[in-house]
Amino acid sequence: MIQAIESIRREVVVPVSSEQAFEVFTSGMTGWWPKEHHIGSAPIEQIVIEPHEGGRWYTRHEDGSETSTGYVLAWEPPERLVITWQIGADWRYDPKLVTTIEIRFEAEAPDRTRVRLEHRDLERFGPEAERMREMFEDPGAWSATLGAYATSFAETG
Amino acid sequence: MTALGDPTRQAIFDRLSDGPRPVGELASGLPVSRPAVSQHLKVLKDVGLVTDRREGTRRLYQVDAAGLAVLRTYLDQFWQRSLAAFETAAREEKGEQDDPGD
Repeated sequence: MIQAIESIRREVVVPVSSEQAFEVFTSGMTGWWPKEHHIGSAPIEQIVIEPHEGGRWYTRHEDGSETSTGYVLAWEPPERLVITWQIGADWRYDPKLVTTIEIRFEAEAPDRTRVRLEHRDLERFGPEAERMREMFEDPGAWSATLGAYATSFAETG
Repeated sequence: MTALGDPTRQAIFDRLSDGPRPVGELASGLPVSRPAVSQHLKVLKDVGLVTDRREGTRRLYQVDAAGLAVLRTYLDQFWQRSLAAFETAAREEKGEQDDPGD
């Protein structure tokens, strides 16, 4: 059951130049990425986006292990970044599952930048829908992850 | 606009993640009326996050796992939250933020 689903679109305005916004988003990602949101066996030590087309987007964990999230499709500072998100419904990196995140940094003033994020190709999760259903029926798998996420969201919300 | 933007709906959805529940059971654990819970369930049904089915005399509500809407909503909430944190980080970079938080 594959169906097209609408892209996720979010935007935020930040009081910095587009250069700074791009910098914080990429090399500063460890500082703002939700700490509990990782697929490794240990807490996040550092999130790295290698600053060039074809570069890896990965997380280094405190136990020395690494987990991949995707790679860089377009590295065009300070205006545009396109990266892939290849985490499946089972919370593992899947090289065959490619969804795309495009971030545009639109300078509205020297110290004001509109950051638009689009996460698209979500229908590519479609073939995993059956697996997702199975996981829902196994309390403790996906539902626990979702529950933990919901809890953390409520705490910060 | 997100279906899970409301804390009560988030709580209802969270409970349903543990398994199917009738509306009465959902309402008993929440500080809102049963009609209010029914209204929230309708919203969750409309966006494809929740389905219902009749079992004997009662109606059970459950997470619609087949719906990619679930994953989409999860990611949507994730990006909303992440971008808010990104905004905070950018403000700190700028030095406008007196309270660095944690």
